[in-house]
This record gives sequence, structure tokens and C-alpha cells, in this order.
Amino acid sequence: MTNSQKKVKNKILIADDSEMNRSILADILGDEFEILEASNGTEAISILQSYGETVSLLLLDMVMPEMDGFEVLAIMNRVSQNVPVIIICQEENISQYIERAYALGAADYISPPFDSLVVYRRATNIIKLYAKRDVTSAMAENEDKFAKAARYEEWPASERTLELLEQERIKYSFFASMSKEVQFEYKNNPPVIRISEFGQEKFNIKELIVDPQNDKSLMAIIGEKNYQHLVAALRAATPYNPIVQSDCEINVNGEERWVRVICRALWPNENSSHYTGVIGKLTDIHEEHMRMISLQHAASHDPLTGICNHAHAKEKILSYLHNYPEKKYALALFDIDHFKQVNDVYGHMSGDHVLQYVAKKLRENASIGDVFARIGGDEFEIFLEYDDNPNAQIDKIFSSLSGVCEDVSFTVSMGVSDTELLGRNYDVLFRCADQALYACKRSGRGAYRFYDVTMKESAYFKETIGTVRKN
Amino acid sequence: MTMEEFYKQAGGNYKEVYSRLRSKDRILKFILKFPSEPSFETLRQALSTNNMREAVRASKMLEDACLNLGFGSLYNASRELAEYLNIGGSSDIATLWNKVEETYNRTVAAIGELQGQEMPV
Repeated sequence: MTNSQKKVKNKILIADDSEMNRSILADILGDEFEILEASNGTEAISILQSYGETVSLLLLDMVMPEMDGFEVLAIMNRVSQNVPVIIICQEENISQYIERAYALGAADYISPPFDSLVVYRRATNIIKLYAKRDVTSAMAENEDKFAKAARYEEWPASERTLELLEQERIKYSFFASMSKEVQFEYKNNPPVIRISEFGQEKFNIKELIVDPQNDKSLMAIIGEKNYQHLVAALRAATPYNPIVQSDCEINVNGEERWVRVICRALWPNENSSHYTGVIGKLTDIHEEHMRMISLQHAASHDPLTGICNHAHAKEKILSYLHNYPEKKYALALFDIDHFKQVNDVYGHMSGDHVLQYVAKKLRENASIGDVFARIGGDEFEIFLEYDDNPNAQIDKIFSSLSGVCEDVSFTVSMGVSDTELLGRNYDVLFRCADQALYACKRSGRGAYRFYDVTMKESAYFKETIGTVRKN
Repeated sequence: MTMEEFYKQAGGNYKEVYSRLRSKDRILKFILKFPSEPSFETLRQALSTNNMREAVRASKMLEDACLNLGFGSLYNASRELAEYLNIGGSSDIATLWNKVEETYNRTVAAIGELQGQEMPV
């Protein structure tokens, strides 16, 4: 027999936590049908997603772990999954389950002890019935559309409503695909997320994700921390304030991308304490986010050396002084001795290289947590924490700064103030470090000095250096 | 041991089982599979850890297997336990469980005897 002549068997999915039940039913039906098996509702949904409507029939146990038969039927209804269902339940429970199961779309039931002829006939009859129904529907679709439209007003209201709902669904899918946004819908009971077609393609993920918190493929994309943050934000939402927005970094096919998640929690009524669903979308904002980071960096850093500028350094220092009142800090200001001559003799490019060299030495010798910045021209600022005495740290940094850069030999002069002596006012610390630097320059340059009370501002200092600083 | 004798020991009726499953080979195949069916062990574990929800589920699985295979005695014992668990009882669990276990062991012993004499075609 050639491949084309081989009959393709219809598929029957048996969802039952009892292996014996599955085996017996498979044995009864296996000669004529291809049998698929699931031991709980979650597996059943996963198989239905994979095979879609190539599954001709679902035999569904109502009592299963993880997700029971009712929850499976509810999900199938939500996604308009048109696979016929025969439920499996013990005879004594029929009256308890059957009405609800029928309301959810079940077509028939079977009960242990299984009768092989009854099982076979019910299965084949349902499959044939649904096959005929599909043919009839297809024929109806081919009917003259004008004649159908002409009779629109004669349709019963329920049919018109279904038609309108279907049109709304088509519009929604069309606009979702055009917007290039990943749209999603979440329902609470059982917990299932439905991803739009665009989202499925973008993330290489399935349409329905059951129990999303424990789904590895979803967590690999969004990350456990981001997911929990979103859940916490949704729990804090109220019917009067239902919108949640969050920017986060997710993994899209191996690449980290920034996205904006905007979603709306849904409640059955405004007095409900817990939301029952969420609708939302993810928009890729990666380029916009990186541009903003770049602009923020440019606004806070010196373009020549790449280290902080004065404003950003001051902001950080003020934060440290405020948030850690028990810690001891030193603030140092230094500049390059005779820097104007460096520019005049070697050129401004060499001067720039010296500044970059100094910044590099700061990076190499400052400790984590230290703040350092170029505050203007050839002047730099350092802010560091110390335990007992800042001398050793200051000495280490100072020693690293003087040197040779591209045949340009240079020294620096440095003034240092500290919180133990002067308190925690930034302007006072800055001014006193500046006075110490001035004192250092007067006494020969190429050294560092700590501020002491003998260095009170001279009139000359206030008039010349102080004025220049202010300007 | 014939199939009829086996079913007499198991508290069932071979004719009834045959009228449903319609094949001796099929019946024998699943009888021989029964000792490896996990519901009994699952029920034991659930009761020992006081996991009543799991115990109810396991007892349902055991009942289904006994119903399908026509093991009347074991079905009755596990049914009695299941009903007791459903009403939330606890003091008589040990007694009821002992009965299930004894009946299960007798059934499995009879399956062993049957296996020695009947091989599926």
C-alpha cells in the first residue's frame, strides 16, 4: 500500500489520571483510532494546543489532579476549541456532574465499568455527528451571501449577536496584528494566559499558557522577578484605579529588550476584592529606553573623560551625606599644576590626553562607592568614605595621579576636607577643600594638604578665588 | 485455575466481565496488568501521610480499576473506605484500610495463580 493509500486514522485524546482506564479505552478504540493520552487537564490542554482540531474526540475524566475536567471544558470554550467531548465519570456522580458538563459543551458520557461496544459506538457516533455538522456549516457558508444579507433582519437576535461578536473578534485580531504589540488576556480560574498571534510569533511561544507562574518557557522570557512585580501591582489595583504600567527588561529569543507592559485588571463588579482577569499589551521600547539612558549619561558625565560631571557628583554626595549620617567622609579637590603651560607647550590635544589619563588613574585607584568627577577645566573632585583616618586612602590616590602622559610630565596639588572636623554641609566641605588646595599651591604645589582652622578664608581668597568660583 | 474460578475468588462474575469487554485476551491482559497499577500504592502513601485529598483520588482510581475488571470484593472494600473518607471520618480508617489491604493481597495472589496457568494468546 502506498502512503497515499494508507488511511489516516482519526485521533482520540483520552484524558484520565487512571492509567488502567486509559489503557482499557485505548485497547477498545486503538484498532480504528490513533490514541493520544493525558494524565491531567494541563497535559490535555497542551495536547489540544499542539494537535488542534485534528483531534476528533476527547474522552475526559472529570476528576483529575492539577486541572480537572470542568476546567478543561471551560478553557476549550474560551478558545472556541470545537473538539467534541465525552466525559468519564462514575455512575453515582452522573447527576452531580452531567448538567454542568453539558452546559460547558460536553456531548455525552461513559462510566466504568466500561462496556466495549457502548464505548466504541458512542465514540464513533459522536465523531460522525460532528463531521456531518462541519460539512453542513461549510455548505451554509457557501450560500449566496446577498441572499443571506437580505435576510439579515429576519435572523433571530442571538444569531445577529453572534455575528457581531465574530466581527468584533476579527477586528480585534486585525488591529492587534497591525499594531505590532503583543496583546494578552489572563483569566484567573483556572489560571491561563492567552497570547495574540503576533506575540506567539515574536516570542516563539504557544497561544495558551496554563498555570503561567510555573511555566518555564514564559518565565524564561519575562523573568520571575518581573512577573512577581506585575502581579503585586495588579493586586494593588482597584476597580477605580485598574490600570497598571511597568517598564522592564525581558528576554526575546536570547536578546535582552526593554518593553512597556500596560494592563487593566478586570473585576466581576466594583465591590469585588479580587480581580478575575487581566487584559494588556507589551510594546517594545528598547531603542527609546537606550536613547534615554544615553541622554541621561550624557547629562551627568563629562564627555572628554567619561567620569561624572560636577552636578551629578554633587547629587550623589548629597545623597550619601543625608542617607548615612553615621559615616565619615573626606572631600578632596585637585588640579593639574601649571596646566595652562601644558596646553601652551604641548597643545590642547596633549592637554586633553593628560585629563583623560588623570581620570583613568582615578578609576583605577578609587574604591567602589567613592565619587569622583571632573568639575571643570583641569579641576577634579573626589569624595570617599573612611573608617578612622583618611590619610592612607588620600595618599594612595594622590600618589597615583602625578606622572607622565605622552612625554608630558606633570604633578597635581590637592586640598582635602573631612566631615569629622567640618560637619556635613556640602558647600562648607567644598569651600574648605578649596582653601586647602589654595594653601597647597601657595606652599609650592605638587602635594596635598588637609584643611585646618588656620586656613580661614583670607580676604584675597574671598575676593579672587571665591568670585571666580561663583562665576 | 480457570477464569471462572479466578473470578469466584475475586468476588466477581466472569460472564459479566466478558459481556462488557468481549475478549478473553483483553480481560486476561488487564488482569495481569492490575498488580502494577499504581492506585493501591498511591492510596497507601496518601493515608500514611494523612493526605486525604490524594487518598480520595487514589481510592476512586482503585474503584474504577476494580469496576472495569469485575473485582467485586476489592471494589466493595475500597468503596467502603472511600465513602468513609468522603464524610471526613478518621477513627476507623485503619480498620477499613486493613480490609482493603487484605482483599488486595488476596486478589493479587489469585492473579499470580492465574498467571501460572493461563497465558494470553
